[in-house]
Amino acid sequence: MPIVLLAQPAELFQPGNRLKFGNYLFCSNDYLRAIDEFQNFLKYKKNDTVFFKIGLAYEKMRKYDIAQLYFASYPEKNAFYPEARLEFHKLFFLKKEFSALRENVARTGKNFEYYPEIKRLSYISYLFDDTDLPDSNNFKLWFNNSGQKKIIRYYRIKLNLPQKSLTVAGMLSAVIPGLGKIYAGETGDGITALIVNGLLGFLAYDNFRAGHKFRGWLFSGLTAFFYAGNIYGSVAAAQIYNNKIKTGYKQELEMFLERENYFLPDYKNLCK
Amino acid sequence: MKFKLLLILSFVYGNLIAQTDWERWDADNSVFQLKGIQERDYSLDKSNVGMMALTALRDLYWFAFSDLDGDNCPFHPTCSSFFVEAVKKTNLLQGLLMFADRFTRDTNFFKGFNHYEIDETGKFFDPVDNYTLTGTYIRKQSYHKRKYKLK
Repeated sequence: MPIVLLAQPAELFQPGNRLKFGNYLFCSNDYLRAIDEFQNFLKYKKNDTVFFKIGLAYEKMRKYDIAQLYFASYPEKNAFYPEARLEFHKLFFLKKEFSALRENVARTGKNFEYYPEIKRLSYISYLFDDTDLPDSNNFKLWFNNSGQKKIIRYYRIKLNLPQKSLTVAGMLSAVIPGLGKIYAGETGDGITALIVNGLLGFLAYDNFRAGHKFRGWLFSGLTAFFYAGNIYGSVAAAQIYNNKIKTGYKQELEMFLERENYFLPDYKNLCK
Repeated sequence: MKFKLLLILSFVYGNLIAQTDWERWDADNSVFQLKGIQERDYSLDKSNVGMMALTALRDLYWFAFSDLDGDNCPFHPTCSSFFVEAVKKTNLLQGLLMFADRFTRDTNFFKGFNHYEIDETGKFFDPVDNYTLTGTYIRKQSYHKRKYKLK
């Protein structure tokens, strides 16, 4: 009798309950388990919303390729097609496949419901990769007033990113050892290089002057070794400086876009 | 006579049980050095003769000097590993240039001043890939922008 009373009722795993539990998990950001529940639900009943939610759950879990497969499978006549297509484009952006995104946007007709949104994504993508930036007026065209100001700020930063020339860094270090490092922002390393090269050079000169040929040549070799290494290091330091600036810029831009939800509509009504 | 014998025996006994400075007593064999995140791999790189010779030289350096000296290199990877990895990833000439630069940076007394990211073991994170001039840039995830903050 107690066993019968305590037994789990059979209807617990019915499709309706699985869907409810899946929705609860989805809205609690427990996407992996939500997908499991949704997939079990779909075994019994076809449902486009649930299918869309699975795609979104994979997107949230950063499984972009799988998510894109889900969104790409919506037929054109489906009610969710515009949203699925929008997410399909967004995933190119999240995967950082910017040229693929731009190609797909260029192929999309202007009568597509979310054309402005994908066009915005396409323009934002120019801020990330190394292709030339389009004209700022074209850029502004797709953003509203408040969005314009924010995005143009990043546009201007990208245009004027403080970058160091690798050639200048190398040449400066060739003239005065360490100067290229100082130019690349590594003052301590630059001064050290100057001292090391100066000291070894002086030892070479002093030993030659005192008639110690072997030691003279030894220190000459060491001077040449560290002199060449410093020129190389200055070029590398300039490149690291540039990369740090670029990475910092991209990180800040990514955080900004995440806050703005990539200027895209969100699906808060899915969790009401 | 008996007293003399007793005295000699006590000296002998004292000498036998005395604490010696060439033997540890019951103390724990503790090592207080920080454990490096990378165990030393003494195996030879057999991809070509040059790399085999280079890794053999590195092993000899580790065995004869570095292991005796202790874990003193402030960088990760260490300068010797950096050199071998640099040669493997580029070529001998570029590897030598990268090593000369790393060695100079190592002698900088102020290298810890807001310059390198810090590794899990407290070492300066300075990967080879950042210096190969291929545009690759590796950074630690925990790194916070300080020096290069955008205006």
